[in-house]
Amino acid sequence: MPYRFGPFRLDPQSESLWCGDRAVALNRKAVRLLLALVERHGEVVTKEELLSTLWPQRGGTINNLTQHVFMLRNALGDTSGKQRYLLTVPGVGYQFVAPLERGDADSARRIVARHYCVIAREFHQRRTPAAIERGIEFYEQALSYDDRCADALAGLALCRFLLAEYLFETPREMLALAEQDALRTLEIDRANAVALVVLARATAQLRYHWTEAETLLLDAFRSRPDYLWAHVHLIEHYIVRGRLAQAEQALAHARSLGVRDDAFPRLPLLQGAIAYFNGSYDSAQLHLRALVDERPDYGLARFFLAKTLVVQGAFDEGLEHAQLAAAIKVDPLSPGQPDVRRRALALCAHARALRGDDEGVRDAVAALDAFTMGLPQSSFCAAIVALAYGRPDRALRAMENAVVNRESYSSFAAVEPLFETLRALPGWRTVLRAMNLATS
Amino acid sequence: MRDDNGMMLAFGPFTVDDARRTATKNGKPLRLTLRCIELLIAFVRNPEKTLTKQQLLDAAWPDPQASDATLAQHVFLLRRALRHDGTEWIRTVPNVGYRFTGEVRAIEAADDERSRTMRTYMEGARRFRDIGSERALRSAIDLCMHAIALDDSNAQAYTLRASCWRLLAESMHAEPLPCLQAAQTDVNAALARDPANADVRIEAAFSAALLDRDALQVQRHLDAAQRLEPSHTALAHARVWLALMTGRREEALRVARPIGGPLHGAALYMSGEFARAGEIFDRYAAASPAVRVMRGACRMLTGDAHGALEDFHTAYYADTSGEDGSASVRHYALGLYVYALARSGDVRSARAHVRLLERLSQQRYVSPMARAAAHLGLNEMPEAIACVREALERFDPWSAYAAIDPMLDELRDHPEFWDIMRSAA
Repeated sequence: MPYRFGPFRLDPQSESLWCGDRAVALNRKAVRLLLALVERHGEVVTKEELLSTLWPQRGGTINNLTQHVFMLRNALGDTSGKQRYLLTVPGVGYQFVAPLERGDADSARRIVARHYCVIAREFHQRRTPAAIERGIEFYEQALSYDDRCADALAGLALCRFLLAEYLFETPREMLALAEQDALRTLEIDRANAVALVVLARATAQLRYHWTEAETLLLDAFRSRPDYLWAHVHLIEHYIVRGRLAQAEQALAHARSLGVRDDAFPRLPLLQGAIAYFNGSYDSAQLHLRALVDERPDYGLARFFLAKTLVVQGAFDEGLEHAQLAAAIKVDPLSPGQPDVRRRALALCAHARALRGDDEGVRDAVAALDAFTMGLPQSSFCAAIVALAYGRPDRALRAMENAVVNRESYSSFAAVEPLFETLRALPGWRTVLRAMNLATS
Repeated sequence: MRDDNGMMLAFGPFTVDDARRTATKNGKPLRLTLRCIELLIAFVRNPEKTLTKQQLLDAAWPDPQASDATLAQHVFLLRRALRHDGTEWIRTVPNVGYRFTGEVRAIEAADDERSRTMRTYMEGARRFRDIGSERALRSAIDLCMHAIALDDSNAQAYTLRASCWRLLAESMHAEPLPCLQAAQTDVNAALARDPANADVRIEAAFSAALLDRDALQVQRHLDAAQRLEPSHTALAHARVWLALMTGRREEALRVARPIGGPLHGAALYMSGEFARAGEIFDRYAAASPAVRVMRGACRMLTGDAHGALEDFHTAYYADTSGEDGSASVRHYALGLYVYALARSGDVRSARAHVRLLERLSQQRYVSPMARAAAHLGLNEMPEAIACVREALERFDPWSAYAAIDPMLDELRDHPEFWDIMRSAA
């Protein structure tokens, strides 16, 4: 396979150098010199090494070498002012510095695969069912070009995990698929941060092995300290396990990376969420209000603000924000997730119930049912609706279901203030124990 | 064709691969029957030599019954496939046979791995272009760069890259002027390498329309493309859009009619035949936000403000997250939504959406033509005119239709309108 750089082609077999379709007149020793440098391109090759390669019978001198370098430079057009190919490292030797074009079909396929991954990411980041499906399609295309493309396998794992996380598909099955993809990725690239995060989440959600999940998240974290979603999942992991001080610490660390809030609004949202789960509702309100003012289209922030207000007893305002969160369809700035809308609709029912507006509850539930058509059932929403109807027993059963289905949000139940009334029920401990969560 | 040293043979823009029994023109596979390929191989192995009919029959037909008439028929097919710049590759030697004329050259053996590499890049780039999202277009551009680095004489790679730059501009993924300039650089490179290629000429015509605003050049390139490949689908589509951009509505209608579909609808709409255009759009509106916007415009202009509002609203708010996310249609829909809101008396909502449009314009490229439509709806003529001027100055692709789009009819009565149109030309 010939080497290519700039307009040149260097053929090791025939020991010849070509510029376009024209052979470059150069003696064999000079071509061998070039080959010796190109074969170790990017490295400094010492004068001694070059001498023993070119004159194995020890007949060469430093002067001979310098002369051949000079001829080679002339042939390559590498004049003294502008050395594109050969760099002199004074006192040591020479280095070939120009990028080599491998120009073979395999590297071309790897390049196409990498581009497919970039395009897939552009789609899946929109986080709607249709966009994630396109993401999966393009990651699969990437694999059809390069079946050992770790980014594509990790991307598939992530897409399937997202389908489970947002309840666009039955979470149990999707998580199992995501886990397989993540394991396949790690066989190729042991330190792939995306695969480690997906594996951690699948471990936590499918088997409730929290300690193992935490180890994996910390691995992801070490492998790519700037991977923000690893931070997010670690923070949420601490929240679920009730270690809010650690969550706070991890968040401070994530924010110290210097990512702007408007570029990644999930971090300021978590600030409010930690305060919410910690029972510091005033502080939560403050953070979330600021965020909602800044990003009126950020449905998840509005949903948390609505929850905070409802828990604080400000039902009217809570309802208003829940309705706004549910009304965010697709915003060109950040397309809404259908799942956030669904949870916001359930919260509307809950807030209306707390206001004593029974008719409003029925309307809200009807809206929720209409919206949920075509999506897997959400037991979390069912639990909230049951509470709205004043049926904690049914809410408990819904949560049992959520655990069986491996719904991602079910593990937040341990710390969710909205479920206060459930905690007194005898079955509650069983629900938490099923998820290996503490029952303090 | 590989000779003993593993070479392939080439003449003009064609290559012949003996081992695989394939031929290409400008790197694109030629569709030839096996008999024609065998015949071609016999010819290029013996350039400038007269071959008798019997020699050719022996070389290409296993069946000894094959007749001179069969041979003549296949020579006819082969000549048609090899049509290029009027060159006569195969001459008839009366009563004897045929002679292949033209310089046959060998291409280096490394081309085998190299052409596979080239195919991978080009196929990837075409797929990415068809996906059409911003990232995909930029990836296609990068793959074309790899293809060009591999073989700088590849006019196809330059043409493909030009079309990607143009699509980046037309979908308003980025500021149009730099994209159109990059497209033009590539068009010029492609023209220098292969002026006799219909695809190159089509891109050149778009470049002449969108950047040079030179109707004569547009026509020149389209005529050339027409001569080169008279039944090219992409050419027919391009001719409709380019006719509209250069204000030739009859021509657009004439070419679009046999094609039918939304393209014909667009030509009808631009020619003021809203009822017939609307009927066509009804069939396609559900599947395409762009068609829905045009149907909304038809409805608006025939007095159905309510239907128009619904169309513009849907086109703007539709979930296109699974598609290329083309911003141009969505923003234009928002501008027209403001227009329809204002004209149906809901000025408060209209103003709220104008603010949204302005906020968006600060964050990314939004066609000033969308804002022009919004201001026009609110009867803010000076602002609307200023937006059209801005659109022309920024080489906004929608501004190419400003001279004929019926939605802007009222604006064209404004004394300044034709001044700014003239100064842009």
